[in-house]
Amino acid sequence: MNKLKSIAPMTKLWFVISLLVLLVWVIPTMVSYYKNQKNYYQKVELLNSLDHRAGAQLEAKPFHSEVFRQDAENYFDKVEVTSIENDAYEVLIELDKSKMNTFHTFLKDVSLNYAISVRDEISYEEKNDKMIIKMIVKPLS
Amino acid sequence: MSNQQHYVTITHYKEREFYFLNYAIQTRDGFMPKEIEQFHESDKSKFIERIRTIQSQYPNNQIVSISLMAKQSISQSEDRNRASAEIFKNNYVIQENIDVGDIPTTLYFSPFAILYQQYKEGLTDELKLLIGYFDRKLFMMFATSDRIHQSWTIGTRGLSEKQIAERVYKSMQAYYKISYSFADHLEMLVSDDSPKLLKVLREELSLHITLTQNSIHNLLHRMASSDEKAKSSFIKSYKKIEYTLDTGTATTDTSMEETGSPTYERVRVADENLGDIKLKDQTSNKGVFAKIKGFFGSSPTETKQKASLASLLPLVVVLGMGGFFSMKNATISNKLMQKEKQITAQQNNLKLATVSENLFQAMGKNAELKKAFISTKGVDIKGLVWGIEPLKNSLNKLYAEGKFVIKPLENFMTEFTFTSK
Repeated sequence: MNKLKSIAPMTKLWFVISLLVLLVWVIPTMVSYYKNQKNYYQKVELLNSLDHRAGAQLEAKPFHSEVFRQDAENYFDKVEVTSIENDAYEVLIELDKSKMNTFHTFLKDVSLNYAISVRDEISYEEKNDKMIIKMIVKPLS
Repeated sequence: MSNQQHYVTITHYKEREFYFLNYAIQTRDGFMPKEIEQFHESDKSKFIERIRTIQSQYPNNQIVSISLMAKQSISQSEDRNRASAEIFKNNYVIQENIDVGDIPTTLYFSPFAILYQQYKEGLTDELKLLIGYFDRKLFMMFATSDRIHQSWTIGTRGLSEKQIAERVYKSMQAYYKISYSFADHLEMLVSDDSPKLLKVLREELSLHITLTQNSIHNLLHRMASSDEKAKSSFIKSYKKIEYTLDTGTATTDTSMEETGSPTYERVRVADENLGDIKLKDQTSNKGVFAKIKGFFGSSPTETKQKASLASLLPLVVVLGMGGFFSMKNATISNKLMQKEKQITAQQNNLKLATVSENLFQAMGKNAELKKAFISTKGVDIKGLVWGIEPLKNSLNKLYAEGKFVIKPLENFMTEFTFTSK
């Protein structure tokens, strides 16, 4: 106790401030970090359970309209990607009516391959035995 | 050699009701003390007579005593109205008066002067607490090589060892409050065996304490052994100290022999008497912490600055930890948010794909889709139908109570529309 009393007032003050910072900021931040880390691994597990892709399980790529268009053209006859308002993109896909299953597979995997979300609204229109599908995608920020 | 030629120092002091007397023949190599004589205060005249006798035997003499008054202090300037003695440059010990009474005395020393002479070689820039324990009084002074910073005298009569240690510690605290300097090295000079006090001091202060033990007589003989030391006497007008040329075959007092220490004139180091407290050589007695401290050792000012900086260390560490975890937390939060959005998007996509698959499956070969708007909430489709009832049933299975409408076309075909509710 005597030794404690002999410590300089400024030293004591720094110790008190250190303790307060530790209690008010550092420890809650640490707790939050470990909690978020645990949540993150749980989300990764959940996403893996939603992933039925064959082959390598790659992380979602950041969205780039041209890269997306070129990749999509490997599956469909024609793909157009147009930038629209609210940082969204309108995607027009033209494919043979008989290949709708390809589109359904594409739709199931698109948010796993690219960091995008698809607006909950897809339109189909048949023209000259081709199906033209319009959907709105938005990069995940 | 005749007694006329010997330089003799006669030492005396009073402790409680007794006078103690001793004399020693001084040589350039040390002194040869004789047997200590003790007189009760009621025999004061005999005591004085004995001093006179020795004086007459050895005309080349100094009569040396110690002031054991509690009220004496260290000052940076001389006080001509009081008894003062210069310990060293601009450092004076001052007391109210010289209290030798009618007892012959030519040199009269303060314990502070004796302390300084004992430890002056070992003083550095590092603050040291020097303690002299004489006549149950602690004479304490905080000193560095350039000056004596503060002094205290503590009476210990009637106090337990623990209480004494507490008072020493309080003095150190008091000094810390006025100077922000803490003496982490302590030297102690005791005039009699006090092993328990030393032990308690070490425990209470948690400090390394170097002990030197010697009798008051021997210390006084030493003080009177040269003009240089004798200058710190309260009594100024003493005759010059002269040694005979012939040192003869005198055997010097063993207590005055060099002890091997390069800086200290150590005398009768305490482990001869303080059996339960083994004192080692100063260097070997340093702990690991002390060695580390020594490695980073510096002047008191630098130590103070370092102490101030060191006190910030916990805050720096805490801020560092906080910063580190904040960054990590921000990163993981961002990744977590991305994963949550991706999961939501993926779940929505799977539902949409299911809706679309179900719709095409429901139409099968009974219809052909021309136009459709689908979402997870509902569908609005239009096409050509060949099997009206099967299509209607299939769609109604998917969307109960949906609006199914058919319209005959001119080319004998039938158009259907279906809107979920």
